[in-house]
Parts: sequence; C-alpha cells; structure tokens
Amino acid sequence: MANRNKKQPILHISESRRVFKALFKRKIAVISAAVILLTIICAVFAKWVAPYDPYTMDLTNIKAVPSWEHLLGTDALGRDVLSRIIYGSQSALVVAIVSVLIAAISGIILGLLAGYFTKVVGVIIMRFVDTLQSIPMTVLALAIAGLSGGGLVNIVIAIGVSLTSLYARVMRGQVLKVKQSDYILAEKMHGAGNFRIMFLHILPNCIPVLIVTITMQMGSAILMEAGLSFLGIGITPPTPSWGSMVQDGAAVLTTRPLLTIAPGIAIFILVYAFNTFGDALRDALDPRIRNRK
Amino acid sequence: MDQQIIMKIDDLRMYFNTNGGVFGNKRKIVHAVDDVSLSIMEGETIGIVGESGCGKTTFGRAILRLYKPTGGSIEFMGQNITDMPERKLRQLRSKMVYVFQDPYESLDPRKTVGSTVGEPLIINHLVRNKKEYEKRIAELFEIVNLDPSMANRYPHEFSGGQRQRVAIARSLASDPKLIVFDEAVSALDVSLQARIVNLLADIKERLKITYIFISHDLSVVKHISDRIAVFYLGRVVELSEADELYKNPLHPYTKALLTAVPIPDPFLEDKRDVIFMDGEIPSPINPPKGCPFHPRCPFATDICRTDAPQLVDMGHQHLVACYASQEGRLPK
Ligand SMILES: Nc1ncnc2c1ncn2[C@@H]1O[C@H](COP(=O)(O)OP(=O)(O)OP(=O)(O)O)[C@@H](O)[C@H]1O
Ligand SMILES: [Mg+2]
Repeated sequence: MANRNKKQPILHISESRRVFKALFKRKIAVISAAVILLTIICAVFAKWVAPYDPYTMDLTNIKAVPSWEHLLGTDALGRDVLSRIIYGSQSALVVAIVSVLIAAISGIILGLLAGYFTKVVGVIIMRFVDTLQSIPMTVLALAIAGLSGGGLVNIVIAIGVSLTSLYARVMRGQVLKVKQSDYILAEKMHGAGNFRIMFLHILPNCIPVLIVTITMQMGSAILMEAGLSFLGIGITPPTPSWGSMVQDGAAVLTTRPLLTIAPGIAIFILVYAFNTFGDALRDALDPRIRNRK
Repeated sequence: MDQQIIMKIDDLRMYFNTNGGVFGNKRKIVHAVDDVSLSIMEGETIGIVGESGCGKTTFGRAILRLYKPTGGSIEFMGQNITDMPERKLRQLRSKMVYVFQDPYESLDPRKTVGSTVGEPLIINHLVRNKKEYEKRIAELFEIVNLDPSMANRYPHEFSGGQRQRVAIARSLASDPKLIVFDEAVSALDVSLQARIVNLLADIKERLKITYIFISHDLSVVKHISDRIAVFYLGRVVELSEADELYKNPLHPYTKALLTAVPIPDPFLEDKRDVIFMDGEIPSPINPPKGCPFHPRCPFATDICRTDAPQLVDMGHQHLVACYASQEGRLPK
C-alpha cells in the first residue's frame, strides 16, 4: 500500500457514466433503444419518410392488397396504410411518453412526499390520490373533452391523470420501506436535511422498482388511446392513430386481416421495445447486478 | 484529573408504544431505557454492556437524539439537546456520531463507498472543492486501513469487516467529539475483532475522541474501556472503572456475566464464585416491580421486590444498584 500512486483520482467515474456503460453493454438494450429511436425519427420526419400523404383518399383504390405502389395496401377510404402507420407513430409516441411521464413524475413526487411526511401532508396527499383514483378514466376524458375539445392533448391529460394515483401509491409504499433503513437513519444522524435525504437517497432506492411499471404503462397507454379514440373522445378521425386503425380494420378482419395486423404489429414492436429497455435500465441502475452478464 | 463532562445524561427514559395482540388492540409500552443517569467525560471510553434486548442500541440512539426521549434530559457540550428542534440539532450532529450495529444495513447500496464516506463532508460543508473532497476521503480510507482506490466500489463488493471500516471512516469524516459504536465488532470474527478494536484505540489516541462502546461481550469491552456501565433491562445496575469491575464485581448480574467470560488461568477459574442466573431475561414490556433483576437473583429479599435500588458509590467511584451488595450480604 506504501507505493500506491497518490495522484490517482479516486472518485472519477460519475454515476450516470457507469449506468450508460452498463446499459449499452447489453445487446437487448441497444436493440430496443434503436427501435425507439427509429420510431422517434419516423415520427419527426414523417413528411419525408412516408411515401404518401396520410389523408389523401383514393376512392377508386380502396382496400387494395399490398403492391409495389402501396407496400401495405390501402384502407377502406383508399389511404396508404404504410403512410398512416408512419404518421400514427407521432400520436403513439406522444401518448406513450408524455402521458406516462406526466403520471410518473407527479405520482412519484406525490408518493415521495406522502411517504416521507406521513402526518398532515401525507394524509392530505393520499386523500387527493384516492379522489383521483375514483374518477374513471373515460369520465375524466369526457370532462376534459367538454372543457377543451377532443384531441391529443385531451388524451394525454386523461391518461396521465388516471395513471398518477398508481405511481403515488407504489412510490409511497416504497418510501415507507426505504425510510426505515439504517442507511437513511445514518443520513439523518450525520445532519442531512429532508431534501437531501428524500431526493438523493430515498428516491434512487425507490425508482428502480417503478421503472418496470413505467415502461409497461407506456405500452398500455397506447392501448388506452385506442380505446378512447374508439369512443370518439380521443384522436379525432382523419388524424392517423394506431389504435383507431386497429379498430377500423377489425370490421374487415376476415377479408383484409392486414389492415388490423399491420398497426397491431407496430404497437407490439414499440410496446415491446419500451418494456425491454425498461428491464435493462433497471438492471443497469442497480450496482449489485449491473455488471452481471 | 479534572476532566470536562462532554455529555450529561439525567434520568433518561425511552419508552416505545407497541401494538400487542393479533388485532393490535392492546397498546403496550416497552421500557427500553429507564431512568439512566450517566456523565461522560471528555476523552474517555465508556463501555456499555448487557444482554441482548437490554436497551443498549436504544440508549445509544436516544442520547444522540435519533429518537425523541420519553423523559429525562441530555446535555451535550453544554447545550441541552433533549427537546432541541431538528433544525438546530443539525448544527451539532457533526460533533456526535453513531456507528450502526449492522454494517450490511448502514451503507446506501446505490452509492459508492467513497461517496458514503464523503457524505458528512458535504452535509457539513467541510470541503471547498472536489480536490479537497477526494483528498479527505483518501485520508479517511487510510485511517481505517482501507485502500483509497476501493472508494469507487459499492458496498455489496465488500466483506462485513471492510464495511464496518467504511462505516467507521464515515463516522470520522466530520471530526466528531463523541462516537457511539454500537456492537462495532460483534459481526466480525475474533481475529478481525481484535484488529478493529486496536484500530479504534489507535484512532482515539491520535484524534482525541470520546467513545461510547456498546457490546454484549464483556471481553471485547474490557480492552478498550476506561469505565464500564452494566445495563440490565434498560437500567444501569453497575458503573465502575474497567479494571475494578473485573477484579471486584459488585452486582450479582455482573458476577454472572463475568462467569460467562473464560479466564485463561485454570487456577483462577476454579477459585472464582460461580453465580448462575435462573430463568430468562424478563420482558421490557411490563418490567418487574422493584429491582429489575430480582426474579433471577438468588439473593433477592422483600425490599428487592418492591423498591428499585439506586446507584450508590461503594468507594473508588464504583457504583452499584443492589441492596444485597450495598448491605454487604453478597459472598465475596
Ligand atoms: N422502535 C422500537 N419500537 C418498539 N420497541 C423497540 C424499538 N426499538 C427497540 N425496541 C425494544 O426495546 C428493547 C431494547 O432494544 P435494543 O435494540 O435497544 O436492545 P439491545 O440491547 O441493543 O439488544 P441487542 O444486543 O440485541 O442489539 C427491546 O425489547 C426491543 O424490542
Ligand atoms: Mg443493539
């Protein structure tokens, strides 16, 4: 130990660098990240990626089978299915990412506060969460639609609000558990403030459990959007959405299965990519299993 | 020696409410620490011994105000901290620290051990920049004989003994005046115990810290302590200089504890009186009336069953709370 190099920096590698390194050592993480990235690129550059305008109807060429002109055929109104799927990724991504992030962030903060300050603050928050949970999502979506009209924003808020209570609950449970640990008491013993304890020590020890829920719900949010759109309180018709494409295709499932299967596969791939990425992220965040193969 | 008192504890009581019964309808009160008075001198090492469940951990945590005491008062460095609000208490926390009983539980599993050790430095604004921070962490690692290059690793990569040293390094980070070691070596094997105890004695020598050394094992406490307080069911039953306690135990409970400690000399081993305790340690829920030890004590008389004995100085600063001993009724 005497001839140890004293100049050697000891705390050089930052935590986020470690997580990234561990994350991208996993093939599955790289593949799912690539799929998500590709979807994002398609959504952003839909105008250039899509071969046709997704709104142009060609009533002379409806429900066409796949051909070189229309790779995935056309729908009941003669619109190009591939182009609609590419444009549909826009709302799918917004719904999946934005609504779930709204729910996760607000739910996590509410749960963190409720679990840490169990007395007055916690009771008030949990009453509020109970109230939120008691409103069915469709009713909420209807109410928001009544106030601000239908559309994407409506869906994002409705789904976001209705998922919040779940996160708040799960998070609160985690906080109550982690709060009891000696290492949290050690923080208090050394004089750390509430803010430091909550955000630097309790939060990192609670988040990983929630990551799987978050990515799973990104999948279910896309499906919820389909349901709301079907009820007419979601994305309004000409705007392409994967959910409503599946619904529309269902009418002609036996004769033209591709109209349902193609957007269905798009949903499946994106949902699957979110889930596997979430799994890999959770593992990479945990120092105990980070470097395991 | 005119030493200063660093911490003065008066009639400290720490009770816990628990829910008894399957349906939690019977509230019960655990008397974990009951009427403990103790003055801790600056620079001394005071050993706290007693069986499992006698309130050692609770005592150690209560005096550092990790709990809110049920009664009594605690004075630390001249300030009454008994009811001090947490915000004000935080200023003092760097001066009095606690090393947890379980080294597997007391380190954040998601933080490198280096940043765990450095935590008190940041909390108390003791370093100005990253370079100072890293230098200080390396120093602390060296004090506890750990290679500073291990600072980048996580707790799960360490053995129990190494973790305990990490915890000790963290406790030293803020230059404390008083450290409470809660079974600091009990989780370790015997050879490592000796090494850590020597290490702690060494650190104390250099840094002039006051130690409160909690252990259920009298032979461990013996080496490091100047004075020893024997706990029984949340109370101090005997308090004395360490050597005096071993040579001349006055409380029947201490005598019994000492007979459990092997003596290397077979001649002495034969000569000493063996006191056997009857029965189990009573529950701190509804502790017995009178002397807490009377149900197990072969010398108990009527007064022991009704009145709790107080600590009385029997000379040479040797205090005992036992009627039989105070009246000289114990066999020598
Ligand atoms: N938070 C708590 N709530 C209720 N009871 C408690 C609590 N903490 C401790 N106790 C009780 O107080 C008594 C003393 O416990 P404590 O942990 O202080 O004992 P100990 O002497 O440290 O034991 P050990 O040697 O096993 O660590 C025990 O009966 C225990 O069950
Ligand atoms: Mg204990």
